[in-house]
Amino acid sequence: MSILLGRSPDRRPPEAAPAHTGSRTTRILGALTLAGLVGLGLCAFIFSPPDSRPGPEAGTRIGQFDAVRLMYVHLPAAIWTYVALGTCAMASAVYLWRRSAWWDRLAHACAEIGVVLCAVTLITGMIWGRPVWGTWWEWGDVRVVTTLVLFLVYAGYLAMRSVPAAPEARARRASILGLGGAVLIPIVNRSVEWWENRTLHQQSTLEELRIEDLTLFTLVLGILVMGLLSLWLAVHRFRVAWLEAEAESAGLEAALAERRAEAGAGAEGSSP
Amino acid sequence: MSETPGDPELPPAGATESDAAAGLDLTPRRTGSRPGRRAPTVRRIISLLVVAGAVGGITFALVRLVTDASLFFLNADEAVERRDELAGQRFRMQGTPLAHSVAETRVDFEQAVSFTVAFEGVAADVVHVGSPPDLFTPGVPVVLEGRWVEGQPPDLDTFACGVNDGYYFASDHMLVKHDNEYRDTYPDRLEAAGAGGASAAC
Repeated sequence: MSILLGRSPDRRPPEAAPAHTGSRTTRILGALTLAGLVGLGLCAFIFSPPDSRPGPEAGTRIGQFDAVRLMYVHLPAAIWTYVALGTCAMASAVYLWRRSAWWDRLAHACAEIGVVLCAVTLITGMIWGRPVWGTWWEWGDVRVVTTLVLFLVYAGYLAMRSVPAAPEARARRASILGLGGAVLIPIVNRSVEWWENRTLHQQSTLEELRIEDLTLFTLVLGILVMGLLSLWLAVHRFRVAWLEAEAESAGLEAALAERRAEAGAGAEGSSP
Repeated sequence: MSETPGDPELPPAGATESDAAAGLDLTPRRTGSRPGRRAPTVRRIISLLVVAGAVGGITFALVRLVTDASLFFLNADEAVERRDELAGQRFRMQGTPLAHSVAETRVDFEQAVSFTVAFEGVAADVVHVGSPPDLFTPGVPVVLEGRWVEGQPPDLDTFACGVNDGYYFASDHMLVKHDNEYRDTYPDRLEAAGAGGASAAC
């Protein structure tokens, strides 16, 4: 909790909202993320070799060639999509139980990060699919289509959150959808195993670990860096949501004070 | 901030019961809204349109998935085993093109490629009409869409390294299915080629 607000919300007086979204911890996290992104770029585009192996015929090569470099973004984005949306579901469940705005804001922040990562997963998958599969999109593939459905469910969640409504009602509706949408996460993740040899999408790369050397290192680095980036984004998004709520609350207090002052002035003016 | 989200019939969250009892007008004022922020009605319409778009998109995606997935997806061994039952029926077949089986041909003046795929040790001859994907090559699995045809394809006497059992799979849609293998599966191949050990034999 303390990383999200810079300090524990329990020890924080309600009027002391942070003035900005940065803190020493997030600056360190940001610097690590930036360094990681540079390292990932170097490993993915310069140091790691293209996926090319001898084929069954002499003199032929098989593999994904340079398209494999997309995997260093695609797979980490997919993994952190599951984590972000899973956290959104968990925070939604806790909100429904505890009715704490803190958990609602965490769910909102994680849903936004999850939707962005899911979009990255879909886009990089399409760019990879064109040269490797020979098509941008395959409607008959369970993994591809369920990922799209996951994206649409949580995009709908975000849209529903922006429908003007009483904060508690909005949070309750969003939490139910945030929790229910998580049913899709295991379906998307396990689809290639459940429909093994019935889908175009390949099976899990990491579970069977038929990958080695610098390709494996770059993939693991990509997962770590995407994790740091997701955390950094989530913390800042959470703090923005917190500040928005503080600003809204302060604005409401100011408007009420203004009305009370107007009513008081009116009453004084009308009295003899 | 005068814009208060929520039911305009209800007092705002910060208002006390005494405010309402005192006859304080708590109707949200529209003047002085935050600059750049859309009016609640516009926001509501846009948000509801996005929600409706998401619901429509989900429905469309699921209908397409069910429709496309309803086409049989069989591995080459299953397709061969159920050949009589599948006669004339369009379905998808998965298999790995065998080494030295790929040859260019023509079908009705259209560019085509003939080859033999195998799955779990069972092979099937294929004629695919059209350009295969860039990464189509022996050793990389493919998913083909088409139907069984009895007889020999025109302009093709025999399938090189094929089964040649009087049936072939006539395909018009091919996708390359890359597996999750990123290691050398034929580590001895280069050495064999270098030593002149590899031949064009099947």
